Amino acid sequence: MSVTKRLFVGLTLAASLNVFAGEPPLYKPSSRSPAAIDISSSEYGARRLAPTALDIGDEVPDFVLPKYPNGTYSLSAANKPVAIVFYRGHW
Amino acid sequence: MQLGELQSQFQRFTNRNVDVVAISVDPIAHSRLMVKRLGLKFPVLSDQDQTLQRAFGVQNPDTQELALHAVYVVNTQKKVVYRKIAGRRPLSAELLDAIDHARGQYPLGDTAPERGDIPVAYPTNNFQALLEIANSQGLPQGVAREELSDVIQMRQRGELDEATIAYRTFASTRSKTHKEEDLLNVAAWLTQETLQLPDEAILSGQALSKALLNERKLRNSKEVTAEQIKQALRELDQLRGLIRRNASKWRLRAAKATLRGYRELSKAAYST
Repeated sequence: MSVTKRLFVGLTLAASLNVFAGEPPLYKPSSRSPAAIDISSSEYGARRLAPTALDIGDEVPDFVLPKYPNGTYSLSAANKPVAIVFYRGHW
Repeated sequence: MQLGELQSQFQRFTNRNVDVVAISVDPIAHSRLMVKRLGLKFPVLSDQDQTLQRAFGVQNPDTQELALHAVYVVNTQKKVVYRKIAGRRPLSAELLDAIDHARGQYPLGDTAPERGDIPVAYPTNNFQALLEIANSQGLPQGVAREELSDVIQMRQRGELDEATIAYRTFASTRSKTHKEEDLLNVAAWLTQETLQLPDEAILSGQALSKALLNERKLRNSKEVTAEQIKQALRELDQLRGLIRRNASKWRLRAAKATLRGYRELSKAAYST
């Protein structure tokens, strides 16, 4: 096998492995969606009724909010990834 | 995402050095029961003046003071790497996958995504739709049923666009003589006229409304036993269960969509 050919095979293999390793998690956005899509994409979690909602890649504002039962929680003080759940409250 | 489900998976977030916070507009004191009942170990925060939900752009268009159900994951640089706004409630596994993916570590192997078999959304908003229909005061003074018969007939014939136009005309005229609240009642009345929800549904909505009121009263009362609260919560759970089980039979999803449409048209009549 020539050097170029070997290089080519090597590159193709590397590329295909890369593609595999970087494959994003796929989920259906809703139970009626025709196909599962990349959950890290903007359209995955988009919603028509919230057109101005912060999007993938946007920087979220820092916040300090009161926390149950006492004290506060500060996003910048946490200094780590955070999962933020907005729930309706009341019920 | 239900907070109880999130709690059951909380350890996996901690293992990944990821914080979890739940935010609502409820005052801190209101979180006590929920935190206790669900045994939440992550912080429950209060965004009482709605500053943060506005900054995120996730206000509920129906009731501006409440947030839409929304889940975000941000990285250490505070950049959004995952979001899911309203619609189907995401499960914890999904968030964990998004975190791993953002770190270039997906699949890590402990989340086991269930592709294809994703649970149907918890129809919390359908409860709300039902409540509004159940609690509507009917047609306000000065509005006759006949004025709306066109709208109803067009809808029944499936002429949805025509029905929308007809209602918009009605709403813009009425916005000069009636309060917004009146037109929201018309929206609820129309939904019920168009869909003819069974009495059972309406009664359940009224019962739910009463049970919610009762629970809130107990919460704020000083002389209340744990047993009374437990009883109230049990009652609520039973009602919600009943409604959830019948959600498709009673066509609550359709009710929600219809109600929302007419509510939006009603509100728009006041802003133009």
